[in-house]
Amino acid sequence: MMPLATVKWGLLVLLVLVSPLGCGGKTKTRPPEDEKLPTSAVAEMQMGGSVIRVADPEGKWRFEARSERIEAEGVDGPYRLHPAECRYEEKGLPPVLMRSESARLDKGAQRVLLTGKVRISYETWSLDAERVEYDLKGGKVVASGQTKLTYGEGKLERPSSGSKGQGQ
Amino acid sequence: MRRILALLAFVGMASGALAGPATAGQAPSASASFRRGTIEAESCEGLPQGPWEWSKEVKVTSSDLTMTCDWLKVWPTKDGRDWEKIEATGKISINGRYVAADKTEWRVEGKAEAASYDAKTGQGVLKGSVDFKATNLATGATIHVVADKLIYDVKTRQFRFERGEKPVRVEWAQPAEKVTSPVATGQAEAGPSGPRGDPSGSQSGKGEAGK
Repeated sequence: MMPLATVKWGLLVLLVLVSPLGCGGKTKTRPPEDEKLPTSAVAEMQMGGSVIRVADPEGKWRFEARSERIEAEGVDGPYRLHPAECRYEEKGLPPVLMRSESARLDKGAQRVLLTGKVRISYETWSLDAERVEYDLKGGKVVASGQTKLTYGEGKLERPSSGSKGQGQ
Repeated sequence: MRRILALLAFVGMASGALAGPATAGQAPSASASFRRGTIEAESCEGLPQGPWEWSKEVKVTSSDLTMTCDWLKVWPTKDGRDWEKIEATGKISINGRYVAADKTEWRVEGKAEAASYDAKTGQGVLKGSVDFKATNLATGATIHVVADKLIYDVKTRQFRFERGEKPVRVEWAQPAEKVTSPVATGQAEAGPSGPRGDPSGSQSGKGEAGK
């Protein structure tokens, strides 16, 4: 007869080995990727690895933030990124690129607050500031703390004529 | 008199540079008006494609000219290459070096309460206690204009000074020889042909031109 301690260790090892294989997953399977989720008033959010993606339910804009370290205050955020590299795209317009020492992404408010050596680039201009608040829904930028806009540099990267019709 | 008008024309050109980069004494064209520069301020806000608004200690640096003001708003053109409209208010000051169309170099100092530029009308305007000084760096010739309003028309390449009911005051001087010039009369308006060559006779004086 096996000692009780040996049985316990055996069960524990078995549990550890089979859990990555999906043991117990029959009752809670994830929906297929192509299955449409119910659209809500707030944007859909995906988080994978060090990337957070937020997209407008109506498809008018999408936002992507990358970071080495992401902290979430709760399941729905807000999310803190240190540092942050972001990309905002409004349909029919060139992308807005953002970089900062840290960022705070608020899913519900659809806002991102960039702080510390912020740089935002868009076509032929770039903006440097200590603090920038970006309204994802309206696309508005509010910068403070010794702001400096450099214009007339960079490249014009207008989308092709086929993608016109949004965001004007 | 021609030299005086040429100097006045230069002032108009310089103010055009203040009101809008696209009006800096050049006919607007896509390539020529694509400028480089910086705008610094305590705060700013806007959409990526514009318009943009700056407030508190605004400083615009473009080429050799620097403008400071309390508030500035710009509307870029759709292609982002130029300004469609510009408005500035509060303690406007412009300083720097300006190279005229004939490559004559000038040092300029200007003050006003408001400035604007509209590409549709093709006009750059300085308003409110306009005080403008320009010095030819080669000859030392100077001109000083005091007015309530300065309008520079990009299309006609003409400028106009206004001072409400009062006459516009113009002072000019050239260092070599001092000859009092006749008082200017009528509306101060001329095409910005710019100062040409070295004047044969130096002069100085004051003029007041009514509307």
